[in-house]
Amino acid sequence: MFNETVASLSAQSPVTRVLLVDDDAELAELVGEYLGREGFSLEAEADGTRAVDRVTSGDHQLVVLDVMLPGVNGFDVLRSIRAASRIPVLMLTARGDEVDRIVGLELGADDYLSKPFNPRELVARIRAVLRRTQLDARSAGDRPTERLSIDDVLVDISRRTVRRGDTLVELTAVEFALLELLMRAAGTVVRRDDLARGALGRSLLPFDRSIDVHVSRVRKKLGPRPDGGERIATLRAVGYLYTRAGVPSER
Amino acid sequence: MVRGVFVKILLWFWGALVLVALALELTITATSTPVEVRVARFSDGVLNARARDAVTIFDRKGPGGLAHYLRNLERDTRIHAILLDSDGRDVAGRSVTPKVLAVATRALDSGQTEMEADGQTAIKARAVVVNDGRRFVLVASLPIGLMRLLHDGPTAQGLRLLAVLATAAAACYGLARYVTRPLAILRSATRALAQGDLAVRVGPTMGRRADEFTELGRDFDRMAGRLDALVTAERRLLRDISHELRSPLARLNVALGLARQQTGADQGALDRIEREAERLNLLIGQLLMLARMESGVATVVREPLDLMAIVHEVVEDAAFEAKSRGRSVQITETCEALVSGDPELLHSAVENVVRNAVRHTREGTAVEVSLRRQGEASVVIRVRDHGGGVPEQALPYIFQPFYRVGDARERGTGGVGLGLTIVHRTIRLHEGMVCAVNVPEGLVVELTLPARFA
Repeated sequence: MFNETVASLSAQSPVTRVLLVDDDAELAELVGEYLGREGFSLEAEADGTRAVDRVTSGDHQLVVLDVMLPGVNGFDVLRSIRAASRIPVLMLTARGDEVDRIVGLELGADDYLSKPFNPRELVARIRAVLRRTQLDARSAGDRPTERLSIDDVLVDISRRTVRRGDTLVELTAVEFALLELLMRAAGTVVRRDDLARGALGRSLLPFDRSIDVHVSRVRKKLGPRPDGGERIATLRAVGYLYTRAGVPSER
Repeated sequence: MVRGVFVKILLWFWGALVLVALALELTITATSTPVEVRVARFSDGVLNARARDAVTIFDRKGPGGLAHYLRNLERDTRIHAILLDSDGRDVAGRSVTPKVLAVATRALDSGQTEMEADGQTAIKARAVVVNDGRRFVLVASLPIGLMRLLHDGPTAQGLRLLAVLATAAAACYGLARYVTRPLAILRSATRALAQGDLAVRVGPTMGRRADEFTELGRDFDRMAGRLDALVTAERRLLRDISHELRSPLARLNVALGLARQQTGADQGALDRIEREAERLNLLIGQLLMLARMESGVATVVREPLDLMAIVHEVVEDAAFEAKSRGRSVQITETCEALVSGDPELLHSAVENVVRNAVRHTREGTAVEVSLRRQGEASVVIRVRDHGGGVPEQALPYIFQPFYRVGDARERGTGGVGLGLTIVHRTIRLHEGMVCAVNVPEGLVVELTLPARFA
């Protein structure tokens, strides 16, 4: 179901196309103008269902989704988008609403920003998320084949695919980046903040659970090791550790 | 269920019923005429036969045999009897009361049955003449009236009492259950309501009874319904406010960004606008947080927290800011303390108190923060500034929303007037206490929280 639209389109159009899903037309207009000057092309969509159609058509490289849409549930929109595409999704939540953030991240959003936001911060987040995916997309063709393999998990860095045994595991861009970071450092602890910088392109904020939610999604998608152990061990308040079968974890 | 009202009702009614039963029995016994059986036992013929038997036994077996016979008689018929000879002496040698002697003498004189009775005892004397011409008199006394009860067989009394106790207990248990069952239903419903279950109703569980309790239940349901509607409306309003107030703010922020992109813009003025917009945003956030806490439906996250780490974090941040304004923040004392609570709320509570102190302490002075164990299960965070304190009469009000001690004092320092209120609510939500006291040249705010110590 996942198509490589990111790769094909970024090669065709030099301007990054962002879809803003928000019912506030005036805000969309202002954000469009701001992003325009920063070199992005913004389209706005107020209707959640139409937004899903437009995302799946593959015309955009990133979605900014307000989960507080009136009428429709922003999370349903997010779920529909994720069912069809792994396009980066940046969600806008109410400040202080941690539940919304965690639910959003669990449904597969790549990062969040609380609303009202500083447009500079919005641009920084968009660039951080895009840097990853476009780097991925560009490298797909020209980088030599690089593979990481631990136990029954095989990660193809150049093709951005993850296999557990014979099964293909679908990961979002952020989840893939996290797994890559953890596997490259397998056996040693990676600090939460380093994971955030590497996978989200930013530092963690106070009470920021993004990394924990993303890691738990990776864990869930990969399942336990063949010997039944947990692949990714948690060191509370410090970071995470990718473990190998047979090697006792440092917990 | 088996406490309080239930037991009280049960015991009171049971006690009352038992007392009523006893009183009734006593009254009936006291006022009713002696039973025929007793009269028969006491009749002349019987007495005559008994008297002859007694004499025969006395002659054959002596005083010991007689005593045995009389004891048996008393046990079987409740009649207490003694045998006197013609001179009025007890054949067994015991002394005789004047009253008995008087009746006995009359019987010897008349040769008939003589009787004497007062309210308590009836005495009958029967004179007999045996074959050899000796004369004897049998004096028998029998308790009547109230006294009779005491002389009744213990088995019968016990049975009657047991019957009363058992019946009364059963009836009272039923009564107490009947009265307290709806109370128990109402109580659990009230608790559920207090814990935020606004959908709870008692109507369906009250059964088919129709009395004051069902009316109370209906009133409860109406109240719960109204609360439900109000809270739902309030929640919707909060969400709407959050959305409606923040939408213009979001636009303002982006517009501000646009203005900054234009070269030649007055960055100083834009900075000011941005600061005010941020302040407005903070205020809306605080209002919403407060409203959520007030409504009591917000679920507080409970996780074990290292209070020392929180205090260190807050102090580090605050010290950094204070330094730029010529003030400092110091930790004077800490201890390891684990509290159970919401990390974000507690962090913001401590931060609010420390920042408030930094705002008010005089230039060149330090805000002192200490974390100290108090007793077995609580910990105190004490924050002291050197800012001249708060007028004594204003102290009780500084935790109220938007309360300003002095107009000039707050305005220049940028307080938004909700910080301490949120502190108060947060600490209360964590079963703690907040207090503020004036000390020489400053104010001390103490946050007391339940804690565990490693």
